[in-house]
Amino acid sequence: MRKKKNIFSKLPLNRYFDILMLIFLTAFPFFTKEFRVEMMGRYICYAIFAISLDLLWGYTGLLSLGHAVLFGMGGYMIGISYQIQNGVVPAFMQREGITEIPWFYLPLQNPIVASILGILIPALFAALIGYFVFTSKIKGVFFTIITLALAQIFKDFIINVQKYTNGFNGLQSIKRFSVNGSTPLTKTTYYYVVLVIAVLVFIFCLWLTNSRVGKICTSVRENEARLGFLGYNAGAFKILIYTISGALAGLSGVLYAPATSTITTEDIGVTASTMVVIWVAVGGRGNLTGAVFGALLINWAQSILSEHFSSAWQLIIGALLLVVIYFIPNGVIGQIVALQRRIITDRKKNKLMEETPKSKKMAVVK
Amino acid sequence: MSSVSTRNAPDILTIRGLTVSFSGFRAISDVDLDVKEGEIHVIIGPNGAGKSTLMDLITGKTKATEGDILFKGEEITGKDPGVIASKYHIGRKFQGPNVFDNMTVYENIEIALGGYTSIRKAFSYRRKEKQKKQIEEVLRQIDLYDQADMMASELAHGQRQWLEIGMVIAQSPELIILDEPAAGMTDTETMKTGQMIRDLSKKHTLIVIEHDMEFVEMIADYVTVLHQGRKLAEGPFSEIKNNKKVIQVYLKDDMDEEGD
Amino acid sequence: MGTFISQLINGLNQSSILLIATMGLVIIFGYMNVTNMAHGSMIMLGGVSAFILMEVLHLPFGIALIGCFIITGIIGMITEKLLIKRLYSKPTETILATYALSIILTELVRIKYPLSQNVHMPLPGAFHIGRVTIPYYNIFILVFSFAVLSLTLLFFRKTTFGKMLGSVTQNRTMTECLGIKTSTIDTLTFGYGAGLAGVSGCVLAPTTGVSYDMGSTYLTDTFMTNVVGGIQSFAGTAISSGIIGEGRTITAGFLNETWAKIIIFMIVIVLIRFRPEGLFTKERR
Repeated sequence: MRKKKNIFSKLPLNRYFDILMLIFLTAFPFFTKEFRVEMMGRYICYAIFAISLDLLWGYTGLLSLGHAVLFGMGGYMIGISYQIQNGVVPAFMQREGITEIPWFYLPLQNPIVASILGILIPALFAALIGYFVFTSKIKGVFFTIITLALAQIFKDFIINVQKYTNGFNGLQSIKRFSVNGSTPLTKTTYYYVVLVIAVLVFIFCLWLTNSRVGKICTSVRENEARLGFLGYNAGAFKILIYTISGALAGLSGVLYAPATSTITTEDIGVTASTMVVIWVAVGGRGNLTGAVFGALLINWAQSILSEHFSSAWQLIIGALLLVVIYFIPNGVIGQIVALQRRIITDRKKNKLMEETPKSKKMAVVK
Repeated sequence: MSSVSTRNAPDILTIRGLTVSFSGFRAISDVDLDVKEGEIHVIIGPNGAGKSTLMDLITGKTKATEGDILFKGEEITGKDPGVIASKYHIGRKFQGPNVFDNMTVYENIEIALGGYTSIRKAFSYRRKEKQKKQIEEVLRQIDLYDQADMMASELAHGQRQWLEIGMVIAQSPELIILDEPAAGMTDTETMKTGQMIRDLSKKHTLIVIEHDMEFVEMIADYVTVLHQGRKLAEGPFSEIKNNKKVIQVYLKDDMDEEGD
Repeated sequence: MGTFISQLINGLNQSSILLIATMGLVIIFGYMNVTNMAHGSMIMLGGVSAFILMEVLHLPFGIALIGCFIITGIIGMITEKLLIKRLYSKPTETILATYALSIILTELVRIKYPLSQNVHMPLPGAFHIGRVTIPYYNIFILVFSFAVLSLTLLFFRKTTFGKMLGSVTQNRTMTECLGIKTSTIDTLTFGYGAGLAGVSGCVLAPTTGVSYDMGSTYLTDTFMTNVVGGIQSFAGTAISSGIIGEGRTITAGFLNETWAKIIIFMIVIVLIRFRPEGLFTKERR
């Protein structure tokens, strides 16, 4: 409705920050060692993972404490794919007396198929859980509890079916997308592949959250009951966003496993799920930038600090979360956005006051 | 004040023998109600008379124990709120502003825009000229055009009430239910709200719950008085004003309040 | 047949453990409407307190029970005063804050006791009926959990404080108008709920040992039990403890622990889809 005078005058500050981060990440491999590049590639996967939670939690208000389950599903799909290349039965299966690749693993032999399934299966799984929880009239917080239970149970499950998943030890030597025996991508190439996908995911989420569907999800967060009386079926939108979030979490897992060449039960349980919550909480929810920033920042901090405080790292995380909740509830980026917003609004209010004729002014003041 | 001529119009909402009880307590008891197309039907009654409960029943928030609610002759008793809102075009403004706080005024109205509530429709929705016009018109009707990109939480109380009225208008409902639309407003704001409601009645039928008798007088075509879950009286405001039973109930209520 | 009966009896033991562990949650989650993610950690703290009181200070079990109630009760009250109070109308923040607290408590205990600690059995010995063995202590847990249940019910229904609490949870503003200090009541109630969690930790300690990570499983188990039973219903919680405890033990007998958990989890999800108000609560308004 207003004239687009200058697009930059209205752009929220965090969008400049996005561009800065993108420039930094694009240039990153040029001024650092390869192992740092590999590390940053991993963190970009985490950033996609964080974005997937931000859609669900930041935008729709549904806190999942078991999001790593969906991440793990993606990671394990690609992980298994590289255990069974060329029809070889992996050692951990042979130990359990399995001589042939189980039929349900056969499609995974192709890493491309495995990657697609690594996105589809978590999405379908999320849709299924979402169907039961979101069409129920149960209190909203129950979703959080159910997802926490899910994280515990999924980890137990992966450990329990050891003969198919190698249990505690997890899966190793996952290749950076070598298809049909081709040479795996180099670390730097893979870094850029991940970065490009991350940018695409970011743009998709930017579009989604600004679309009507995204706005409906935001209204679920703001006032779900009101939405119902506007004729919406809030449950359907919650299932939808959980499914999309599941697909993206799966995608991040699919990208992550080759980046580290391993996936283990450490990546899928309660602790991993808590970590992604912290990234989003610290960075700031509901603006996408915060999720990415939080994921990159905390993981860098962890890589530096945990060498010194490895035993107390979880303690630091817990304390950090408390600090954020009580002192910077919007997260770092969220706080900046809120500040900018307040300045703009104040300016606008003043302007409206000046424009209002005196007689009308009284009513506005009151 | 207006004539009683609206009473000749056909029923848009017909309620027969409506009863609801919560663990033995009958909040609404055997209520009949006819709302005619195009009228402003005000429902008054002392606290606890069951006004809001009656609206809950119409909009599907609460399920009736007995009785029927017909919208243009079609049974809507026991249907879900979403269905009643989207299929039967009944819009409701709740008591106290009930809006999406951390979204802009524009977004609040846009979300409320009727006809795009399913996932498929929501995906195919585009903000074209037609939609923009529709939203801007609503914004003008509720006098929040200049505040369009402010957050709902940044508005004054009265403006938030209007915003919710605007959301109901945007649904383009045939029947609009307003639950105490002028509650907590200044005199100027109340006047403005009254005018807004009168303007609305040109295109819509309205049921308004209200306390403030001056405000009722300003807007009502027809008044129904509820008392302890039952219908006590109905008629144009001029009749109701002089109805002995009604005066008694209100006086008694006033005395009770003073006694507290 | 004998094994099946022992399983039933094991299940009963599981059920009584669940019941006593969930009781505090009925108060905090059901009545106070606080999603206390630190509930599991409160149980764990009860266990740790039991270990310290019984194994380090060599106090008798009875004293340890009371001690655990007081210690975790006080920790609960401090938690309410410092953390929960400011977040009453913010459910998500409450979840996060209590979750952060549970991480902190777990880590603090892990630093002090990285390994699982044993607490000696206060009631050794067992009944033998044919091939079925019932440890005395299991019977104690069963009786004790029902005793705590009855006491709590009596407390809520008969004492002035209990009734006040009921009115606070039902209508906060009105109670405030009557001049009752709701904030003190909130603190005391939270303390009582936390104290109950501590007592359950103390009772569990001799059977399962005490480890820093015991809280997280109890957290989800107790929430599920509570929701299935009806969040404000003590009786419902008792019955759902029975169903979940027995269900899990019997399923575990056929398959294994993990699959039992998975199956019960799936059943709970389906149940809450069709009975969101819990199995044993009449639908409210």
